[in-house]
Amino acid sequence: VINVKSKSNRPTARSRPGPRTAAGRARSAKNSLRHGLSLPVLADPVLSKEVAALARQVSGADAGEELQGLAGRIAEAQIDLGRVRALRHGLISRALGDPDYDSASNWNNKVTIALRVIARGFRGKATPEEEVRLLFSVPEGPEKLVTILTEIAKRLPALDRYERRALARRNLAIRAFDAARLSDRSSLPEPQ
Amino acid sequence: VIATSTSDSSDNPNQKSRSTSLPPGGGLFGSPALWEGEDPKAFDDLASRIRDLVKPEDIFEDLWVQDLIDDSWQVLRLRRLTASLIAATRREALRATLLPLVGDAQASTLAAAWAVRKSDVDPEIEKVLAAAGLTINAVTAQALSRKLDAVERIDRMVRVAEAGRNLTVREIERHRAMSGLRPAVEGVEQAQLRVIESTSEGTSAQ
Repeated sequence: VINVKSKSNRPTARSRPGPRTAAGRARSAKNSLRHGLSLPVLADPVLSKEVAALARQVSGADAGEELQGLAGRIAEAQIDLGRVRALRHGLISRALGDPDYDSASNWNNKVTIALRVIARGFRGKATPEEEVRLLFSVPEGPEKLVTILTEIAKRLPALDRYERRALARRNLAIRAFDAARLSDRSSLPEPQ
Repeated sequence: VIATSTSDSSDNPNQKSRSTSLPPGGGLFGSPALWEGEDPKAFDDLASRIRDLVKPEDIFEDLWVQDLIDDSWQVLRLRRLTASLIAATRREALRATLLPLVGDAQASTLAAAWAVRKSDVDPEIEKVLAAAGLTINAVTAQALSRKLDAVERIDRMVRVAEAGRNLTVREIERHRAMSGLRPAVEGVEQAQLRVIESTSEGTSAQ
């Protein structure tokens, strides 16, 4: 019975990937809102001006409609790419500048140690020196940078995904632009 | 947004003069690609060497060159990070290696002196290690094993950046072949590697 039901649900499940409940969808929407990449660049007035300016630079003043459209796609993807990279750069820079930065897992360890220290205090027992050291330690130097990079990769894998997609979109659009320009040139009559 | 100056009058509107370039160290948003503590001069050096090597011909190549610079810098910084991570762990690794040979107190004293580059302890450390059939390489191995997870994570990031760099080189070559701008740069990947290696040596010597 379970197998039959599971099979009957498969086509529907395939056509509707992602969260199904209202709560799941709301939570999923927040994933991209959290890092500000949910809005398309053209929905942002500042970024859309940048897209238009870059598209003009790419196509040139006398380009036909097709080349202008492709230039717009290139520009949009490039600005999107810049947005993801700027966001990642900001996250890393902020974390590097924070003297108290620590990873989420280290914070959890510290909370556990702190609770243990309090429990020992109630029982009138001393806290081992190593635990006190761990409680007040934060990653420094290369250790800190590794912690930051690992945390960002672990907690925001979507950043890498966005970047790869924007890069692929831009490169595909440039290929299409090159092909369209080549076809424009070859359709021109040979000079006498 | 992009600091380009299309001052030529060719029939290709996005082809531009050699003076065109993205701002060094700046992306589309003008934000520097550098992290706290990184050397802007080393970055600019790498950027100008890659620009000289590729000689971007139009706005697309400018974008790709910026990608090449970012990916190459990422490879360099991650390699440096691995080296710094191992170096920072060597004191603790030395103490751990010496511990079963000379006891806690002496192992800690020797490791502390060694970490502040007191060269007079080197012969003593070498003697203790040699008596156990070890060399200083055992300390590096111990440091590496302590940070193996982190080193592997960094290595994965290096591979991603290298793959990005190779993809960009292929895109430039494809674009040049298709646009008939000029023949593809021969051996750009090898030349790029030489740039990276020489910059790496320069910065590690600082």
